[in-house]
Amino acid sequence: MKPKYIIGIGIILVFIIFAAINLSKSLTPYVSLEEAKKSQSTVQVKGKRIEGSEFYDLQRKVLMFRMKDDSGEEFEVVYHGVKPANLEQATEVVVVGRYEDGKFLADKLLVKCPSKYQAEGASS
Amino acid sequence: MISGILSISLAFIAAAVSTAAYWLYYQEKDERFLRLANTGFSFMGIGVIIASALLYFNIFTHNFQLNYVYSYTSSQLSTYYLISTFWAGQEGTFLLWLVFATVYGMILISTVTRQKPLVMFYFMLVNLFLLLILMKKSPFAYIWHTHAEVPVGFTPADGAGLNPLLENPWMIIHPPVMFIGYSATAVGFAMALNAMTIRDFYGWIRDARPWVIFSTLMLGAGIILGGYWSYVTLGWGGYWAWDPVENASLVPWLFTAVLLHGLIIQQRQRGLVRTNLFLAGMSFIAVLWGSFLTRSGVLGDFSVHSFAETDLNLYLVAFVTFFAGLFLYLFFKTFRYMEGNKFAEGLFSRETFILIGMLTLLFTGIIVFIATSSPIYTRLLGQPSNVSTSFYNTISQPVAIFLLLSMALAPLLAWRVARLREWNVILVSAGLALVITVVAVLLGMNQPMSVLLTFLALFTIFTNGWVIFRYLRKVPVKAGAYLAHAGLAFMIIGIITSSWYDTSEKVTLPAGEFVRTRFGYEVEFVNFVRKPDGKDRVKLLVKQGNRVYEAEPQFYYSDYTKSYMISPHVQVGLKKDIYISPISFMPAKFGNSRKISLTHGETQTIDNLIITFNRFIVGEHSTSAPMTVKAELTVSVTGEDGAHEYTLQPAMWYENGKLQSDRVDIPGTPYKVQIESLDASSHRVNLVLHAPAPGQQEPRDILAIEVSEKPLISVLWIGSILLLLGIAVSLLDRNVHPEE
Repeated sequence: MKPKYIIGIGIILVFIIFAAINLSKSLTPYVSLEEAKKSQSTVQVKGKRIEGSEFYDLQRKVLMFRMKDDSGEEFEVVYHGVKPANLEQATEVVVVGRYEDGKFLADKLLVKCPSKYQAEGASS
Repeated sequence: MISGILSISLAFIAAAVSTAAYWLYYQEKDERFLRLANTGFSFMGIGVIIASALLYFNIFTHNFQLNYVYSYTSSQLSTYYLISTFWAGQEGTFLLWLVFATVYGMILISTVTRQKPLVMFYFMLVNLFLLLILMKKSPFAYIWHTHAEVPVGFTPADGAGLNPLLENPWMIIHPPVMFIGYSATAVGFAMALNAMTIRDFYGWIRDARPWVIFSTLMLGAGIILGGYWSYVTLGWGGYWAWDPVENASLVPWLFTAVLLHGLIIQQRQRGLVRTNLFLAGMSFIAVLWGSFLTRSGVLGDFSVHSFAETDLNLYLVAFVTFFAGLFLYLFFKTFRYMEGNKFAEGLFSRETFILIGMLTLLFTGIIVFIATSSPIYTRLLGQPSNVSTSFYNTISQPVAIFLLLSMALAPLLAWRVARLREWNVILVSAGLALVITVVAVLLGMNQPMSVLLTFLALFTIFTNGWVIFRYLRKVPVKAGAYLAHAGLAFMIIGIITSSWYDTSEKVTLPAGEFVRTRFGYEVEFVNFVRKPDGKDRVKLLVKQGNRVYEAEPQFYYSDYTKSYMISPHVQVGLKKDIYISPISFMPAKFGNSRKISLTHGETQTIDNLIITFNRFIVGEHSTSAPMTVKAELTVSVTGEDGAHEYTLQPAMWYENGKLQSDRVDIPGTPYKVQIESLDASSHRVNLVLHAPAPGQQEPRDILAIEVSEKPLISVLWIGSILLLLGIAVSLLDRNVHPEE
């Protein structure tokens, strides 16, 4: 075999391993709160927001609210950032982050609204 | 809508006859079958055109009895947006696909069909499937077919309207451009299937090349338009989010781009025979996979978009499985007959470098494909998971290095001769690139990976620029590829600067006060500007040195999406864009609120105010702007300089599932007046008079916004135009030099 092919195959292998490691690292599963408590890594929890539980500190830009996961367990979410405009309308909230010291620290907050969103869905 | 359903049925039957006749012509070589097949195709085309015309007729005449017209249009929409509602829903997009397929079919009949009837046979198979889907899910279904609770014959007063996100000029052209590209991949696919069936693995290359270039051009244009739309309307600050919907369009584009290069190698060196057939198959399968993934609802949990679940899943799965199965069957059946030349000689030949670029793009396409599909296979293993966007961003970096290296050196290398030459061009280009990179570092580019990529991108621009310059004097039409590669390098620079070096700040703005941002300029929230179509804006003033300009980003509640819609204000500049996006609004909290109740003509006095309620003004009802009732008041304010009389009109409307009302300033006083409730039958209005509590500072409305700077994002758009222009020139070259 020519050395060119060996180098080529080597590079491809390194690429594949690189991709596979990154892929397995960045897979974020949907879990219940139960599992989120045990997990050390970033997870996402889907659930319902509890009406009227929000507290938003404008100066420090911290949002706190309570939500209920699909199994019905209630917990508190702390999110550093500006309160999304559609929080009140959300039927479902997805929080991405870690569970720590009795609170869920969210890095990301996705609010799902009861829209029949088809914008790009329709275009592909 | 019986005529619509009939025209689609006609098209289906004609397509079925035509498909069978193309096969018979291939078997029997009898001219009559060819005539029958072409006639069948014509009738399919007529059916599709009539169906499209009928759909437009119903859209423009506002026939809300049709579920499609009811679901995506309303009588408020302007003509332009009514045109775009044709492809606002799934049924319409399949019909649009068939319109393009009809045009492609006409071209195929006048070019390759007589010699290669199976190309049309396979092409028509695809159309048959699309027509089948349209019969199952017809755009001509009445509203009572889809909604069981609606009585037969019912006509809704108005339609539900178009998603406000789609009411945007870019959204009129983005979907059709995308679908021109998607549907064109079916042509290359049909040509590859024909090549395998008749075991002529070389003859299809010349025919397929212009089609593959065309698909690459259109898919690229569609993706870039989509990105631009996302940037200027969605307000999250970016143009690409690795959303499943976006990835589903990226993967076919990458595959067609790889195939485009593979075909060049096969035509010149008779190599990559198997690879090209395989890629032609994968490009089309990727299109089908994308439509399944984004239309079936399997991603519902993993996208910010909530996809409508449909009953089409079975059909879509059958569609993908049938064509993937057919393709793989033919591919493995004839695999051992495909023989290509060994072509790559040594490392520093042009073939090797094109191959490196192809491998890189192919690798990227496969990775994105696997990662985007993750919710499907992880569901089978247990917990459904998706891949975070950081994965794609990490993967992109080594990909960009290999891509840039191959694009930079390939144009300077000779075919077949493995020797690095034109050292002077390489050294001068690298030198110039280095100088500019050093300047960039001095200007603050500090992340090593971005410095490396910028250097390589500049290097690519200079070497390709040199080759473009050389061709412009001889055969300008040959410069397309190099122009496209330089454009891609420009795009990479724009992506690096605008995404790695963008800076943003979230600021809260109390109304009527300039707030300083970290960028040095000051922003003031003036007020809400109510618009007649309900798409309210917030008025901001931006003070930059001595210059003050107005910014009016959109911020309103949409009944269609049941959520607040936000569109940014983008202050475009060559060096950087300033991107201002509202986040949320918090109305002022007053310490002292008093209620008063008035009937028609009644007057009440509070402090120095004399308030008279004159009458109710009932606004026009429309779907986009909610129905509004205003209370006309006469307020007399007694101040030190005597009494002043004002006519005020506080309003109340139904929005967001609740009654909303605005607060109207009473001039010359700290008071604001607001409707609390009203009773039209007894002509009574209940008002609230807001004032600050004693000792309380005057409370103000607060708007939170995000301000960001996107350095050199203009380079991304300029690069995009060069890339597309370059591909278009290559397409032109196929007409001028089809044999090369």
